[in-house]
Amino acid sequence: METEFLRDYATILIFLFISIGLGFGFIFVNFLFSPSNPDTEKLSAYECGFEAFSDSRMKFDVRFYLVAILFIIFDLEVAFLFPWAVTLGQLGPLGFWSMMIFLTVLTIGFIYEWKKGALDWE
Amino acid sequence: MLAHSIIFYFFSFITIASSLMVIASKNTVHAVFFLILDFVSISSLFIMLGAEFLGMLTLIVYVGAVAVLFLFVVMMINVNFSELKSGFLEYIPFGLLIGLVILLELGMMIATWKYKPDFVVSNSIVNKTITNTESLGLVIYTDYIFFFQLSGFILLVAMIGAIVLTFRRKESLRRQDITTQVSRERTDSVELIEVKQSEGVKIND
Repeated sequence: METEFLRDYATILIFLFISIGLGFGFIFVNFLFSPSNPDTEKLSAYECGFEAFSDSRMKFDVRFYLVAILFIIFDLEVAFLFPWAVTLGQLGPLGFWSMMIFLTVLTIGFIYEWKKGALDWE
Repeated sequence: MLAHSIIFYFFSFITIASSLMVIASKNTVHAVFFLILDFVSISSLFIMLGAEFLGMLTLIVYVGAVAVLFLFVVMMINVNFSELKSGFLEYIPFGLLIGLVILLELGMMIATWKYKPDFVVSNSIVNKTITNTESLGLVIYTDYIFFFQLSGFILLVAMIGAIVLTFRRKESLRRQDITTQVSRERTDSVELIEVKQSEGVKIND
């Protein structure tokens, strides 16, 4: 089984384990050394005044969602560009022009959203 | 080899545990965070299988974009938990059915892979001497040009559809118009008038 290339990921793995260890370690040390006198009043929202009327999460504009969707689409476009950039020397004219058509199609969409004003914030 | 198995089981455990937490956690925002953890560990599993490009793409697309989208949806929809729980039992048979279908598909795939090795013959793409990204790039843009262009059109349709569905232009607002703002001259708005003694200025509006 070819697992030689995984040696390149050893540093990332070490980094991952250190960060996991740090994250859990801080919580554990806090749990260990912090004073703990639980009381129901400490968990209540306010010492005086009203209880909260509704959830603290509020609805927000659908526009954020639109920006996120447009981001995903161009993210995927860039994802297609990576293998193309690596192999461009071996692809020949067909590979080059197929990517150009792909980019043109997406640029049409980009011009559409620009003209429509979907990128403007108000 | 031992280290390989230990790391594999570590990531598999995280994957299964976090996907269980996705459906078990009460808070939907926590569920999305567990989904992100799930995606991260799945991408690590992809990398361990040798599909490095796919693993990195999972990180970029799923963790970077789709999870954010899920988070937006969760925060945008006002989730009523008692309402959600009321329909829980009705959906269990349906969910079990889908789970069963997926389990059968997985079983069939493993069975064909185990007992009929010549069932899948598309090993020609996989080349051990060049990198993952390179072997993908060599076939996507030339051999599979039709599917590549089709994916471009699907992305275009998705873009236009998102704009048509969600974009509402509010006409009542005064918005920025950079060209008119920048090309505005001083003479358009300010005028110097010679004021005569004890007559004043008549402002014509």
